[in-house]
Amino acid sequence: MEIPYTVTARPDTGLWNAKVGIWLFLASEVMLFGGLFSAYIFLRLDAEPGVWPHGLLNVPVGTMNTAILIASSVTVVLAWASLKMRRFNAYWWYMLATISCGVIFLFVKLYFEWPQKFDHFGAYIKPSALEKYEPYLGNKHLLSEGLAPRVEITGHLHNHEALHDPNIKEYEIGLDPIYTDPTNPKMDRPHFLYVPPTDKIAKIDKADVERATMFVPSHSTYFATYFTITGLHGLHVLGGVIVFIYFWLPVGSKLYRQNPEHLANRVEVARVVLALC
Amino acid sequence: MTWMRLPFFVWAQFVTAFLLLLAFPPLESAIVMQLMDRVAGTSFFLPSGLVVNGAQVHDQRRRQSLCSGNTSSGSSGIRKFTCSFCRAWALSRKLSRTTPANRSGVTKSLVLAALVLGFLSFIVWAHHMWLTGMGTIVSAFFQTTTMIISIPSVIILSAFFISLWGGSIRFTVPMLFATAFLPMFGIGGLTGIPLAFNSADLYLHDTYYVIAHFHYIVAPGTIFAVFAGDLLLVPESNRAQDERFLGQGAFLAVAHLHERHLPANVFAGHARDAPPLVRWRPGLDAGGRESVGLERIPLEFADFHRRLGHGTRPNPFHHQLFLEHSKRKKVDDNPWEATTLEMDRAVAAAAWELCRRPGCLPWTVTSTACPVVKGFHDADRAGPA
Repeated sequence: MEIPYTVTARPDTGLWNAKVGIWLFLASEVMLFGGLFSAYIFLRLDAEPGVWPHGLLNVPVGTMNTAILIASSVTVVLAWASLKMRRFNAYWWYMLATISCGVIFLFVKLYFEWPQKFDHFGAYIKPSALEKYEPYLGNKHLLSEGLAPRVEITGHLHNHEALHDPNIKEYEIGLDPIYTDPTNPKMDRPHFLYVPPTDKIAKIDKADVERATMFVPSHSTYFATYFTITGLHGLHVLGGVIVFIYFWLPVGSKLYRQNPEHLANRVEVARVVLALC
Repeated sequence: MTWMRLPFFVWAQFVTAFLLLLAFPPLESAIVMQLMDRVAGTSFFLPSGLVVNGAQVHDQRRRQSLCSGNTSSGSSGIRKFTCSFCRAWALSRKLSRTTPANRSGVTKSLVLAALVLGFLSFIVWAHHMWLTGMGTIVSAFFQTTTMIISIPSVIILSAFFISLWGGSIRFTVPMLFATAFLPMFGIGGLTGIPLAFNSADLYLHDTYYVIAHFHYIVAPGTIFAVFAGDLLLVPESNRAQDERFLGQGAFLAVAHLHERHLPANVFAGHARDAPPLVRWRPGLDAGGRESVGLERIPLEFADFHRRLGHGTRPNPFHHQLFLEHSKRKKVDDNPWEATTLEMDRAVAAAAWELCRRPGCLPWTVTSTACPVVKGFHDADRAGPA
């Protein structure tokens, strides 16, 4: 059966159907991510001064991934334009570039960005024990500067088994630079760029720890929102890549031979979604 | 066809469509957050993860966590209600247009009220969350919008009443539900006003009063109207008249609703404490309390009917849809003797045929294009006989 209005415009809307559909879908996507972003904003506003984490993300890698995704948006527009000009070969190569960008993005996310978080450790010190870890925290210095105190010690966890083994009484943490020199005014503010943990080991008694986890979603509200939003976004990219692979496979060339404009329109609506990502 | 001649059912579906489009995705994000709470141990909603902004949790922060999480769930919740209301109202309006006198002047008010209501429903959601510790400015805003939204609601309710006024009302089963819907929704709406005010709600929160308000709004406001609409469509879908006896039995659910919730309006001060730890058995209500049993009456009716061999569905409403056609009174093309376009099968068929012409869409069907439609337009304009 012929699906109506895939290429020609509907008389009342003036557009082919999928185009209207994709803009409606975009509206609902805005509301979906709007809900998540507003949750982030409210949680951020509610956070007490000093406890919201900073400098835990790897900004250069994230920037690179953003660039890759924007590049994929450009190549898919070129793919669409090639279809409009009826140059299927160019379309095929641009599509391949788009799919590659999507795959690289997901690869970086899943094999580099997220694991780097999962490999990082943070221990929240009980209020009663904050004094004991003053050499790492430097709270007296922060107090004199009028800044909020630090309550967490982060770094690379050397004895991973301590997370599960109740017989191990302390965590051995390769400290993040901020805790090796806490009174240095340069450390008053978190680093914008990611700085890897140092070799300096701190031993933290489990009895002094309120809560300790790797940087997973349950670590803090910050990471909860981070992983939720980037995870949902990653699923969108994955969906886009799958759809593009479908168009890129022989299915696409078959449709191109039958109705090239239809394929162009399909690519157009799919790219609108990916451009949003 | 003009915009205002469009059946209100279509208008309400239009408003509902926008609500579905824009109100459900935040619900979706709430589901995602809920999923993360369950699976990944985050604390968007649950303080049980005890992770709030990373530090040790004390009561205040726990509350903040709930507040933040509720932001999205609350906002979606009220819009979802509006979705269901709209659809239900649409159905009952369809009914009121079909059975008694049709006053076309009402339609304009109805449509505008529905549009305003749809818009306002996006900005009242925090009225479920007075206790979450929001600031006075935010609270004042949402109290104001909640007050304002009662205006289109009352317009719609009044329009329904007006459309009954002066008509010779036949109390068919759909009409029973539709007329029960009107006062009960009124009760629900009026009991909602104290809840809309922060100062009163802080005391009424978590009492039976809230439960009563909620059930008067949701049960008659949506379920009764949907029942009315469903039953109205039974002859359309089954080409057989509905079973009056069965439907009237099911209508006794109204008595159950009053039995359960009217006293709750009076016991406003009684806190809804934890339900007793009783294993549920037939005869207990959902809270584990011994029920008086009135709610069983509609079910008994269904059971009675089942024993007559008419089917096995326990629900009296849906029962109607599955009854054997042979045992039912056949209906003609206009089972409710309606004077309007939307219930007439001949018109629908003619319109559908027109639709199938290239370039023609349902709403471009004009009175000149189709003699059947034209005839009905003329009849409609002249008003009921």
